Amino acid sequence: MSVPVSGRPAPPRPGASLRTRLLRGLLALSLVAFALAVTLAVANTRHNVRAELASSAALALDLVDGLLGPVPALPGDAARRAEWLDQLRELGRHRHLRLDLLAPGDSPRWPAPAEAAAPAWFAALVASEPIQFERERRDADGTPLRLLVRADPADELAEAWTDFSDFLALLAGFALLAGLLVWRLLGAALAPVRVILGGLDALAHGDYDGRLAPGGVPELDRIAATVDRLAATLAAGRAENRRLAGHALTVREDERRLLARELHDELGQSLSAIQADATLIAHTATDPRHIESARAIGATTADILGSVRELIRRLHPAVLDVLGLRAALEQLLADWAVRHAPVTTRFDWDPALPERPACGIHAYRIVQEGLTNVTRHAAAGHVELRLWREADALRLELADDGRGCDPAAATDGFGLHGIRERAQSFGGHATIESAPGQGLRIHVRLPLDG
Amino acid sequence: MSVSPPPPIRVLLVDDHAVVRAGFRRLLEGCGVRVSAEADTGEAGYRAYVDAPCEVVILDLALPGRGGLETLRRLRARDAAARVLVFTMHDEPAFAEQALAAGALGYVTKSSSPEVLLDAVTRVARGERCLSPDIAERLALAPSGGPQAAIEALSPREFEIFRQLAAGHSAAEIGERLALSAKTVANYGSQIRARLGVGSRAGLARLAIRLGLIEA
Repeated sequence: MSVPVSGRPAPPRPGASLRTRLLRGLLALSLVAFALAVTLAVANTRHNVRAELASSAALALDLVDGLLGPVPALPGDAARRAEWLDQLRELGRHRHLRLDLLAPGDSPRWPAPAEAAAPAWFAALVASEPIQFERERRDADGTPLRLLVRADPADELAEAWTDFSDFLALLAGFALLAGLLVWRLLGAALAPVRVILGGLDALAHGDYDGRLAPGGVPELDRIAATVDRLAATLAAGRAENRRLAGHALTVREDERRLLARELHDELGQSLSAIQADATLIAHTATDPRHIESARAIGATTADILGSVRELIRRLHPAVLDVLGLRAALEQLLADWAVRHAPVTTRFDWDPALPERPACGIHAYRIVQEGLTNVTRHAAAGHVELRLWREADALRLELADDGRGCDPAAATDGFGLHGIRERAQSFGGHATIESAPGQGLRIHVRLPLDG
Repeated sequence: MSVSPPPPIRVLLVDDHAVVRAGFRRLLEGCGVRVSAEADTGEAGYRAYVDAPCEVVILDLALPGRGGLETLRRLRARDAAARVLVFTMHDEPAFAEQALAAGALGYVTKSSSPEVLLDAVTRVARGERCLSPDIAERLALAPSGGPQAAIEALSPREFEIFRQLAAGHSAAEIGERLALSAKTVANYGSQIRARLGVGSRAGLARLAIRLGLIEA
């Protein structure tokens, strides 16, 4: 359930961390560099491949013309012509040149083009078709022939791809290294920030005792020192608050005790004396009107006495002062059990505990509050109260087998907050252990010397 | 022929409130009880009892100085037959248990009707136990401190010692009555408490009252 806060702008949605943002930028930059590199490389390769192929082919044609003699005539000299043709094709065993001689009606017999070592997308981008040149020749008979020179770009492509992929790998490696470097550097630089954030988080959760270790970055160390001072101030404030709360509680209990004693010693006693006289008059008077008046006085006095008695009981447990904590708690639990029959109770007391500890009234009030809580929320069938001594502390445990609750969700309105505050005000602490359907257990520790 | 009336019950009134003492002295004397002495502290009450023993000591618990319970113990230690009726504002059963365990015969709260006190004085003078109705009710309602079955498992001798301890008698008194040494009785006592799961003599008293073994 969220409560709208008026007059305050909504906090900005939490964005990506600084590190992530920087890395994203670096990645984008790398991608742009990649794209540029690819574009440039493709354009260059395309141009280079074409120029290379064209010049190779032209050179080849000139060489063929000059080196090989006239083409022998076919019908008469088939063997010589075949030899000539082999010589011609041998010339074409060149890296990327293929040569052929075609009589009219022949079609070129190209060997299968070499499998390009470059990926298809690269070849497609470079888009270099084989380049073909041809020249008219006649053989010895004067039969017209076509001399074909075909330049295959596969080798050129492969060569360009090797260069290009090396360059891409270099670029990728650089981007990766740069990213790692940024990640590590920022991580190291921001480590003190994380420490400070952790400290602030602890503060927000009420842990004022932690101190932040300096991280080596002067600006951040100053922030950390300020957070530490803030924590110390808060801790001192809280300690003072608890001391005051404890003082207020003690003063209140003292006043209640004095008030109860006053009511007990003065008002109560005098009322019982009035009752005695009223009874005496009722017994000895002869006039019926006097008897009636005396009885009325007696009855009214009894009513007031009843109220005073109830008031005293509510103000302060007299048993605690006269008979001690054990008797007082036993009585409290017994009275509670009578009012809440058929709930069963069990009481355990460690004889190592003093009968009248200084924190007695607070232990009593905590049990009182705990029992009220059981009445209100638990629907319990059994309640156990256990007190024992642990070093210089009184330990108290009040457990029920009722319906329980989620202690984190239900500390307010369960009176459990008050129990915790009271325990802390006197240098102790209280924890509540529960789960829905699992009953509820209150653990309290109170110092005995406090 | 005339029968002489029974001698009036002599009472020692120990209460630190002059107003209360005056009021109840008038009431008691008006109803045929003789207040032979008054005291405003436990010490003074003890001395008055030693000087002039009486049938009933009416004792407040909230006394300055030594306090009512301690005075009660001293009176009982001095005279095991002293009949003490506690008369107090304290209406918590725990006080009654302590008082009965310390040997009081009666326990009447000051908020009870004064007739209850008059009746209690008469009964305590006869050696009967007497509790004002508010206390009797709360004691009877209090949850049991020990199991009934464990009581039934006690031997006749243990049971008798349990009953007398609960009634507030000292180990020496019980030993005298049962022809045992006080030490033996004390041993029985701790054995009985262990078997009943009761930590104190007050707990024994409450258990006995609940089970109707000693009169409320």
